[in-house]
Amino acid sequence: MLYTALLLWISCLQAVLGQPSEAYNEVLKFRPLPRNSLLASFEFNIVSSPVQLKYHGEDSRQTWEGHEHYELFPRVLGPIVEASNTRELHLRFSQGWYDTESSGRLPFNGSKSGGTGVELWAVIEAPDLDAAKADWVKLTNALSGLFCASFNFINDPITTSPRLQFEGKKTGYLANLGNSLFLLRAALPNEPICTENLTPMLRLLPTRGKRGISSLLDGHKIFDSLWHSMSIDLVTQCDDSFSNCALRMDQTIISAIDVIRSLRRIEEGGIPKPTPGEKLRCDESRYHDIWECFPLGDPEDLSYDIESIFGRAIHGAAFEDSSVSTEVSFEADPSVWQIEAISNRSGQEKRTDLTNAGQLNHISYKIADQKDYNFNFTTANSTITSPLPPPPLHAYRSLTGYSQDKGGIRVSFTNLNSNNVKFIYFESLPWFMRVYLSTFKIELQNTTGTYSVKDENEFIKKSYFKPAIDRKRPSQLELFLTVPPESSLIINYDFDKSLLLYAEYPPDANHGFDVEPAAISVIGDDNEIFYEMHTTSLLLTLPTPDFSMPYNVIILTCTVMSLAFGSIFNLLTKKVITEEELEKLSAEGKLAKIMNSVKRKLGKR
Amino acid sequence: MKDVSRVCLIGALIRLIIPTVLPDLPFWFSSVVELSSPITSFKSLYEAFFYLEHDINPYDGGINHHPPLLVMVMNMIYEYVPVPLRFIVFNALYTFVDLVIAWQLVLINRWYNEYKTKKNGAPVKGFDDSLIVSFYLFNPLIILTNLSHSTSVFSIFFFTETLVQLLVKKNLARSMLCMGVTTYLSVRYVYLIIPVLALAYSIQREPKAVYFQGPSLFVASFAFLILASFTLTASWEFIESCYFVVIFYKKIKPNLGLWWYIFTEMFDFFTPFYTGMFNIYSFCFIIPITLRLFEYQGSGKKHIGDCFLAVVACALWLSFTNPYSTLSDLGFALSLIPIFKGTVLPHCKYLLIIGLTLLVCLLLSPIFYYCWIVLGNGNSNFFYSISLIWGIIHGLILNDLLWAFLTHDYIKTNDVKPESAASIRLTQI
Repeated sequence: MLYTALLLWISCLQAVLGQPSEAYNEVLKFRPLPRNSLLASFEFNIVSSPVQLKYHGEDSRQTWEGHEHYELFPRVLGPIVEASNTRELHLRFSQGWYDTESSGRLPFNGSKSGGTGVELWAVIEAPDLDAAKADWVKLTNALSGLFCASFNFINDPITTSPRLQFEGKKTGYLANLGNSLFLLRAALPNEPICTENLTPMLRLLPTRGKRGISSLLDGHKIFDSLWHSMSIDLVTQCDDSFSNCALRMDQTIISAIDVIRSLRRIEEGGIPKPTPGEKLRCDESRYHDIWECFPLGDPEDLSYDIESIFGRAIHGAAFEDSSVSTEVSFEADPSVWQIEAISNRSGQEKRTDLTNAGQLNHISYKIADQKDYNFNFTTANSTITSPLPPPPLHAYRSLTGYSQDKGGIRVSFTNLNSNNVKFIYFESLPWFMRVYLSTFKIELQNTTGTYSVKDENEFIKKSYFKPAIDRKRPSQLELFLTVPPESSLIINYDFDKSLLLYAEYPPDANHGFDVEPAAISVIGDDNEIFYEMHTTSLLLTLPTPDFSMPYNVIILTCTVMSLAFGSIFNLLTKKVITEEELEKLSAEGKLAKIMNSVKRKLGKR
Repeated sequence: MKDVSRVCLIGALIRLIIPTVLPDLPFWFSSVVELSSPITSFKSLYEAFFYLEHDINPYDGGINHHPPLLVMVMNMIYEYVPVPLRFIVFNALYTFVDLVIAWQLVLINRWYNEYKTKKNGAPVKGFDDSLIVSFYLFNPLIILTNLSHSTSVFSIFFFTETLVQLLVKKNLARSMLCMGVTTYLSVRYVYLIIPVLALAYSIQREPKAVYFQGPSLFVASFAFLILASFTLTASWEFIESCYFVVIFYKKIKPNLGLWWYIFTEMFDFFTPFYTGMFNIYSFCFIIPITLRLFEYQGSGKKHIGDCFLAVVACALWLSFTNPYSTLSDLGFALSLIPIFKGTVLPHCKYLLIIGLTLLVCLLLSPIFYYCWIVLGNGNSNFFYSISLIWGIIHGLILNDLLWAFLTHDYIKTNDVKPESAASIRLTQI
């Protein structure tokens, strides 16, 4: 009822103001992946009503005339974005490992998934970089509170302005006269992602996670997965004259769930137990008895429903209105997969077999009423899935070297396709890694062997490097690389590890420091980015001082200082005499006279 | 002469052949903490060449701390010499500089003995030329420094040139120009201007020339180089990365010096206090040593003094208080000490103890560092203890030298007979 009233009110308002309405739609996609995992991607799109965007300088705080009308678009986000002059905002929360070798490409061609940890970049309108950075601080502090994440730790030493990486991307906004657009980026690779970050994501939705596909989103289930990624992409979309601009927000939550683990959790609870003997699946082709068993992998005949995996069913459509669509789609091979929709209203269950509807891999199902919906997956062979194409590129980054004062970085890019792959490699390293780019070397590895490349320009079309400044700026390396077909390109370079100050070490200093993942944007023939990926983050160990020593160090160092000072001071200031002269002088001294008199008295006795 | 050329040849071959056969050696040595600091490292100089080649400002980053003119001049080799030959040219350059320094030391040694002979009235016999050359060229500290291609070699070269111009060529102006260059290359040498001026006065006895022309020429040449660097780089950023890094102890990297560990362990709010205090400490003995060893005119037999020893003692003091201490500073000072063979050196008592302590320090330092950094079975305190010993060695040498000087001075001023001079026992009140 509430939603009906809301929508009625919206349409009234629309009629009064004569503005185009805000728009919202949501899509949920399921795709069984190899190794009995299930990829669930939730996608929500919201467009705000257009408004004339203004630049809010430092002085315009008094005359705040921001966006006042929010219906579907989240009210909490709008003013933050407008007050910090943010024209584009991208947020990524990711954790886990998505195995592109077995599962194929990342969902949405990687455009919605970040590297491990939290990643944030924004396009900010400002007259100069300093003003942009001031707005950036404002933005990150506000987002920190909103998303319960450590965005407030984003400061100059980790902020970069990517060049090549974002050259290809267009912004649908033209800056005011005298202003330009600044792109700022930062990542927090060691940020844990948890339910606290999901709750604010749901609060941004008009359904608040109560209705529609978002009703499935339970933090305990979403984050109990092999890999998950949440994203928010907020862009400004303007009309042709750039006078009226709407904010478009795409929100996605993707999770690759281990089905077997989720099911086991229901049966056995949260604590894993050893499989009892009678449930062990032994390799029949080998010898097996009650004592010996070569266990097989996970079962291949499976039947599960999303209620058992997410703990809930979908509570009907998002709104009781046909204009807002709630769609659930499936990508599965219909020859082995059977998918059923189970709708339920006050105990009346209705089952619909979806696979019969079409013999295609893609099944789309629209939810329009307010029943509870559950979907059942049954398969005889879960290894056969609707395959995702392999990614255009595989990239692995690792640390080399074994000491705590220097090391190297080795990145290998493998292209298994039969054509060249062009991509931009973006890497930002913390300042305490002192990169020596003069040690940069490229190797080419193909079926005939490994060669060290003499002319780097053969593979590097463009490059940009900004060295780090201690405690002020990270180093930033961007390379436009081309990998020839069926070969690997390996880049190597060295760095020195810096010793930090006492207070700069975290409490668990010997755990190491996380280095943010490198971002890779693969570029197609039309010079547009068509695939994005990240390398894994790195764990860097730095030399550590002894943390129990502060006072000892002061004492010991100052002892050496004063020893040197005192002895030299004596040598320089005192008068030189022979020892005979000294004896003579001391015999005439007061102390000697007293001593003599004491001796004399003692001698008398 | 024959001996000298033989010694020079062997010294040159060591410096030329080893890095030519092992071209990675200078880069490897550049990250050995005892041999090069962030300020003098060849690896970072090479990185600066790379930046120049790729149109990146070498001073807009935290790697390069070499002054712009040095980078530009050395960059010519990088730019115009192709790769396999380039390293050989670098090796040849470093070898040549070291040979010239060795020859300059010979000239200084000759001057010193001559000067002292004239002053004492009795002949002062120092070491042979070939020995002086060997003390420099075969000094392991100097060989290692040279093989690491540390840029401190150039500072040493310009500083010895300062002395040669002043003492041998008797040209104060050129000497001050060289001093300006030295200071430009390595800012801590600025303190040595005080004993050098005292030395100049002791030879020339022209207060106006020495105390007005000298400093003004020095400041002018230094200022000229700074301005030239400014025009070359079109910004003042190099001041920050070349000089402020040294003055404010900004680069924290383990080294043999006293300060790095104290700043690592220091709580933030104490840091400015200790920065100020350590700077005062670095300077505090420069003037007292110069005054005590000053060759006062007309003071009769009361005091002889030795201004050249003041220069050496101040160099030792600077090596002791250097925030980025390496073997080269001490190595250079140790190569100067044999010059005093005829005067002060015979009165040094602790040479054996100092030598053994130094040996232990040099042997243990890489081991302890390896235990801390690579094996992880030791911690930073191991290496820190070595830096304390390093400091104590400096203190010992300074004490021994100054005491030897005082003994020598006493013997000369009080006309102690040579036969009783050996058994004389002195003390201080």
